[in-house]
Amino acid sequence: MVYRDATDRHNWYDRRFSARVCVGILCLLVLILPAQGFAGEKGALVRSLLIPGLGQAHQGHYTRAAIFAGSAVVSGFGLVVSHIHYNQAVDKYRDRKRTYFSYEDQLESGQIVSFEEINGTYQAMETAWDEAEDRLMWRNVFLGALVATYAVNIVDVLISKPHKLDSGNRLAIDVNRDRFLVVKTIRF
Amino acid sequence: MKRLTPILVFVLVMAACSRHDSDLPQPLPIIEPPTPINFIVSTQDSIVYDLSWDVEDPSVVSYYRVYTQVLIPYVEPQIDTTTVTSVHVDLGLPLPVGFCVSSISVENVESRLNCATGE
Repeated sequence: MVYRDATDRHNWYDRRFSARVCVGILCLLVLILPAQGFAGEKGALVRSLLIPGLGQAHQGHYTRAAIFAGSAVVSGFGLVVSHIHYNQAVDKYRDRKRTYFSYEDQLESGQIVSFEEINGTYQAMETAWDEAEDRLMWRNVFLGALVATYAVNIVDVLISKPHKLDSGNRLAIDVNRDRFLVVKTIRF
Repeated sequence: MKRLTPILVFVLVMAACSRHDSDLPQPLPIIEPPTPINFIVSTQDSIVYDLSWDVEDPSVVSYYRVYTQVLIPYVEPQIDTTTVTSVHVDLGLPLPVGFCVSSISVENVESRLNCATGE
């Protein structure tokens, strides 16, 4: 019961921390992006630093923007979920470890403890440690994917140029006898 | 690149950070006491029982615990402790119960139980 309460509280802290991070990023976007001095290539770099794909979208590369943004969302979501699972596994491991090493004090104080119980607790601690290692690996996989997404996204925004054709021909009017069309060109 | 460096350092630090031990802790230096062997339960009337057993290395055993194998209301499961390898048990009522015996080491560790029923 104590373990369950601790785990629930930990999950709540994790959710609250994640929510604060998201709000912080949104505030940065709202404050920084409209400011002067972030137009052109510099603006694209700043946008890509904040959210992968945003700089590409600013440059007019919408397909690449969608790929980077989608990859960042998937790896970011995976990172948060795997980090929460890792924390739960660590809590379970620490609980078992505390129980196991309390046997030493119990034996020294004269309490009788069954060898099967001690051995069973050690095996449970070993299982929890293996689980924590496994979940740490997954957390690092998602972290690596997010880092790779950011790195490739930034390199891409640095080496690619904005679409010059779009800058002059974003809107066009096609006039016929009985009608006219306003044409918006989007390049991928 | 100057702007990217702190971000990369932060990410690498976060990646290197783990909240659990890098290696599994070593087991406590606890030695399992020898489990009693050749445990024999004999009775004539299912009231009085004679229990006897052996142990491989009596020098590491402090004493033995004797248990009834089934739960009986108002009867404690652990019915006796003794330093010798035989015991005389009088239940007072004709109860067809089994018995278990374990050894307790000088470090207060209890061995596995060895159980048997009356013959």
